[in-house]
Amino acid sequence: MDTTQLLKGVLEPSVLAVLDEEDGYGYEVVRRLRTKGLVDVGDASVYGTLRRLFQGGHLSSYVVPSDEGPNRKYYALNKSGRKELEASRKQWNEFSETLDGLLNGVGEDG
Amino acid sequence: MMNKAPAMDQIQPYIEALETRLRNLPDEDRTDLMSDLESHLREIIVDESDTSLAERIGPPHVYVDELAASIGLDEDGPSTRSLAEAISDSLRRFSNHANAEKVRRLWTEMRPAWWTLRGFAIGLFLSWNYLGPGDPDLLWIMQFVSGALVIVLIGVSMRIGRNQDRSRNWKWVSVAVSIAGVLASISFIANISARMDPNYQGQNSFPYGLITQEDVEFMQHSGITPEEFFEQGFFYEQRWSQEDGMLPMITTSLPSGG
Repeated sequence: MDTTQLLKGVLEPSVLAVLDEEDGYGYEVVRRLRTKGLVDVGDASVYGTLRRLFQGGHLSSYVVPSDEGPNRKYYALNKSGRKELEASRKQWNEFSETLDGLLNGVGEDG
Repeated sequence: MMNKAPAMDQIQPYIEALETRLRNLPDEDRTDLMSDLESHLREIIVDESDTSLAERIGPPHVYVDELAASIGLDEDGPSTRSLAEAISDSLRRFSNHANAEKVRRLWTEMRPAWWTLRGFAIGLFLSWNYLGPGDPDLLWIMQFVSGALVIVLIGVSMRIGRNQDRSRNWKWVSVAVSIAGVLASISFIANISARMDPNYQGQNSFPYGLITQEDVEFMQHSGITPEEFFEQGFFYEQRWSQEDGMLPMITTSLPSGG
């Protein structure tokens, strides 16, 4: 199964979850996602997702000067983002339960 | 930070790819996306200074496709691309190939040499064709003008070359000058080979740069015009030995009176 196809659907909640732990800037979010196991995640997708979430009003951003180079644009979850993350969590749990039942025979009639 | 200096060079291809990709968007949105991407890529370069941007995030066209899909801007897919775009896209694919990196670097280093050469060729072409023979007494002026023209054109060509990465317009100007340079070089080579033929009965546009002071004195002595000097073969009598038409011979004695 092509994991990149799977990733598309879950990237948004994943980015929200990572930022819920701690605010972060673009490439740092990529690295954190990879550390947590999404090793195939691409910078373009994550950056695009960050932008979309920001445009959608789920994130706020602030700029932090860096001693190494250019300023860094940090993203943080706002109220709407936390709500979105909560909704995604619920949705995911239901969905994964369903798939678990489908693929592994786990679940109500398993 | 070893990649600090060429940072913009690394970023530019991505910005350009994005610009092409987003050309259907309103200007504001596009500039906003482009400047935001630029700062994002700068962050990566600072973070990962020991690897190139392309190694980190992939080649520009792939990156931009992925980004567009992720932002949800997929309305202009490959099917709507024109032939020209498809060609430029495949060229870009080639230029993103890992092995092409060396070729590209070499080309970048060689560019100033080409800028000089094309300026020189165009300058020479213009002075050969538009500063034709005139009054031999004014020869030194014409030689001076030719020399100055060549130098000025080399300068202009270098300037255009250095600006060509700044904007699309400069790029087009530079491409046009390069084409002119190639044509001028071809004409230059064709001219030279034609004149290598001892039987050449050419036009009167022979370069003043090749006339010596002795030639001028010869013309004055014999009372002939520059046109006659070239067309009636005096030129070759002056310079080429009879036994071997290809060997230049420096004339030491001038024909007397005329």
